[in-house]
Amino acid sequence: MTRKFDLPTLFVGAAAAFVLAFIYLPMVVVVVYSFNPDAVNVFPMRGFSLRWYRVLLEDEQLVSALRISLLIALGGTSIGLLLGVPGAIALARHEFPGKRILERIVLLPLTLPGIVTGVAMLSFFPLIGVPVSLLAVLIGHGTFLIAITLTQVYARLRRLDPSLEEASADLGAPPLTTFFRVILPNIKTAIIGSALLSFTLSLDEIPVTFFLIAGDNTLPIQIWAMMRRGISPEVNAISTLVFAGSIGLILLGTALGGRDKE
Amino acid sequence: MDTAPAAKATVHTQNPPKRRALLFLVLPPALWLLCFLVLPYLGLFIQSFLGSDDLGNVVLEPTLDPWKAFFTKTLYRSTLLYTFKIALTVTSLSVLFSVPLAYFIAFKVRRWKELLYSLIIVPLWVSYIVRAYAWKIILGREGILNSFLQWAKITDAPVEAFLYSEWAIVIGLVHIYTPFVLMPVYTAFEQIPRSLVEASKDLGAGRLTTFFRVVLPLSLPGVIAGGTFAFVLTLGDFLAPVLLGGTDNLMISNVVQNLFGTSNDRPLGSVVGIVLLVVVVALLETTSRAEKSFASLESGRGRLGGAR
Amino acid sequence: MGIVELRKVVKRFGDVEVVKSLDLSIEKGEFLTFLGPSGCGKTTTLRMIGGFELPTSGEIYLGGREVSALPPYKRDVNTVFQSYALFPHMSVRQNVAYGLEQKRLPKAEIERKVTEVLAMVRMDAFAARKPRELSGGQQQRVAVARAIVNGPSVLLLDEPLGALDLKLRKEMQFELKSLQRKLGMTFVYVTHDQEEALTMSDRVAVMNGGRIEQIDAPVAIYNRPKTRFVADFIGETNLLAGEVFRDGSAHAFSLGSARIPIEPDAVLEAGHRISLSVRPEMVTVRKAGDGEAEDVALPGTVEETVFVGSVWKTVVRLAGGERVVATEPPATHGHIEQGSSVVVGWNPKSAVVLEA
Repeated sequence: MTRKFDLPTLFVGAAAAFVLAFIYLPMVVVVVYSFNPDAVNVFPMRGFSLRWYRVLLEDEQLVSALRISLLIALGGTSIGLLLGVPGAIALARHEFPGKRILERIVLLPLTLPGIVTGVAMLSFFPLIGVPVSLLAVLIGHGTFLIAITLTQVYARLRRLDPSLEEASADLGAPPLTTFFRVILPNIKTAIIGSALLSFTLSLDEIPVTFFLIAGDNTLPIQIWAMMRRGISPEVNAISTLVFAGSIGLILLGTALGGRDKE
Repeated sequence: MDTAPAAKATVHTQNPPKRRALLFLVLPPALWLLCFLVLPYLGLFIQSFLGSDDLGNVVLEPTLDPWKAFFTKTLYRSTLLYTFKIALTVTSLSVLFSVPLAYFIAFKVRRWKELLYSLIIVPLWVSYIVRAYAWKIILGREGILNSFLQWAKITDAPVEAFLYSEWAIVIGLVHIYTPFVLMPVYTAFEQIPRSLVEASKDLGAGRLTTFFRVVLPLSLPGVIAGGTFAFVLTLGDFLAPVLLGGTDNLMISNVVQNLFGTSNDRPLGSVVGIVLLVVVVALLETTSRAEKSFASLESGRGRLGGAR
Repeated sequence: MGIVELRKVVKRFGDVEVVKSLDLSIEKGEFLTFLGPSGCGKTTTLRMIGGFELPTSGEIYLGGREVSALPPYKRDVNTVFQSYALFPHMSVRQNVAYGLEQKRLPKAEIERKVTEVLAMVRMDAFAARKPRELSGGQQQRVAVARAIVNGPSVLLLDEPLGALDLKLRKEMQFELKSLQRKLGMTFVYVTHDQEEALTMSDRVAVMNGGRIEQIDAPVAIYNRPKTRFVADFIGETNLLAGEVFRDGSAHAFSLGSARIPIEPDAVLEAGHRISLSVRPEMVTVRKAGDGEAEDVALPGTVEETVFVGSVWKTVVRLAGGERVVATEPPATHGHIEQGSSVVVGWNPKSAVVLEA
């Protein structure tokens, strides 16, 4: 079958290709130039080298920033799970006074600009004995990660037939048994997905972190600091690793989510 | 935005053990959000009515001075207007970029649809700072674009105007926020029943007419949602202006950042923060209402779907 | 005392009283059906017996024990849900074993009972499947098996056949009924399908607006409805509104200028407003001046006559403007044409007198 020469389709296709290139080309440039043997990023690149990855490994500040970021992400994700999952169950399955207000409050960290949340926390946390520190950063991350987990798990629960829980109780299972044997298996993938998402978002967070951090930088803040000092291809290398890491987490998340859909 | 067919939640009169379980579920997150989110926002509001001493420390003296300062100094108003201008440009370009790509994937692609769709949403979660950085090395004076132009003999000296300009901010932000627009626009396109497109063609409408009179109106809620994302995210952005715009192109969030940083005038910073917050909330309310009014089309679609 | 007893049970959701002071006693081994339009409170009543809703006031007894405030997992009843509510992450076998596991029975006994009940509902070949790999009818059988395997004193069924197509629904009606006879188990059933209710039940409780309008055997519900609502809701009927006319000790029903003899159960005052319910199959239609007149003979005009498969259906407009529908088997149908003048009649014994 021959297709007619189709001008509008061709035009839309070309526009689509341009936009896709616009989104990806800059990232490709960063990855390619992370193998740049020179200290300046110019075209054309002269050769291929792992030089900047070696520099990276010896950069103690960067390695420490990565370690701090991973710890904060781990802690923040745990807070998000421990408080977000019960909150999602309460909102999806129970009626209580103040429910509507809580629903709106939960969305605030997702809808309001991070900078406002950041300066609000910066002003308030010292008053309740939390000075500007990694602890403050952890609390800040935990707060918006509760929102992430809660909304994701809530959406799953809304699609889960509530009579499953009634059936479990009807068959003699007390509430905790129902939770572990009926609810949990059915929201498991949403929990894992939101944990991966939380982890990725925490690793990348800047606006809130920027205002709450004291001395020790997280990874994105450290990268920012390095950029301000001047462009070093070392940043290309760390950026490439960050890309690889976040894409890995995303693929893991969609793979788990996809398995759930079949 | 809850489009999934929600299972009907049944509500019970609660017996005592159930009420206890509820407290156990709801109190920890509610208290956490109260202490670490609601009270800080409230504190920010109160702080906007407080004075400060010569060292910039906030003192507990109620005053309207910060608000007066905000409304009398033209700097804030002009920065706010400038920010709106940038945000509007970024939003328009993001929508303009999103529609053809989303349309192409939704209507023209069959085999690699899943893969292409992942390609457009993956950048959503890919490091912000690194994507901003990418433009810095491309647009810089000694950057890749300039060296490419010289290598290709298109120019003989580096073009200064690329980085640290308004356009650099816009390009960077469009790049960062286009995926946020793409996702809802694509979802809206995907949800349009193909039978409607066929009906329009059956009624004699050409492809352009079908697109502008059927496809686009039906995807408006998605376009509005995406556009709102781009606009609101741009309003709150303080990194791109610094990284790509240099010192001359500051936006409203940079003002907040400076007032809480080097200028150390927290009450005034709180005022600007509250203003930003009010603008965002008002915007979200307006657009969610607009989305709903266009979603009347959607409810018609729901009935259609139900009859099938 | 019945195996299920409801005493003055009220259920309110906010300001809406969904169930209004319900009294009911269900006998052991009985098949009782709650029948009514949507929103009549039938499902809420069933859910209160199951423990999914707690009554606002009143008491519920199961096997003589008060359970009004007990959660579902402490009640000796099991439920077949409208959506089946099969656990999607468990196989058929795991679903059926779930209740027995909660009772902490020995593994071997669980295994034996599950196998037995799956054979009973002819699902033994599908034990390893997941619910989503089953058809609607198969899922329904598993839902029944999962409930009865626990040997509850009462089985609650909430519109269990609602999602099935007509043919399958009829098959399942007979299967459920024979299962109930075999097990001798008390079934409490909810449906809005009157045919289903009449076919399966020992007794039907017709509900409307949160009350039981009538509770009776299916034949009585059909032939001797106690209220206008029941007469109208169950089957087709002709409902005529008029008032009582007394001629000595004999009662009559005055419909406009016509006097129709009636035989009410009790003595009625003259002038009392009443309704008369006459089933279409009890109504005869003759050409005017044809044959001998019955006790009831009302002149009218044929508006329409159609063959609907098993019967002829004739719509007659009476002189006073009322419409009367008659259904007759083809053998006795007199081939009366549209527009012809006729006389409709019935045996006064077959007309039911109801409060207006």
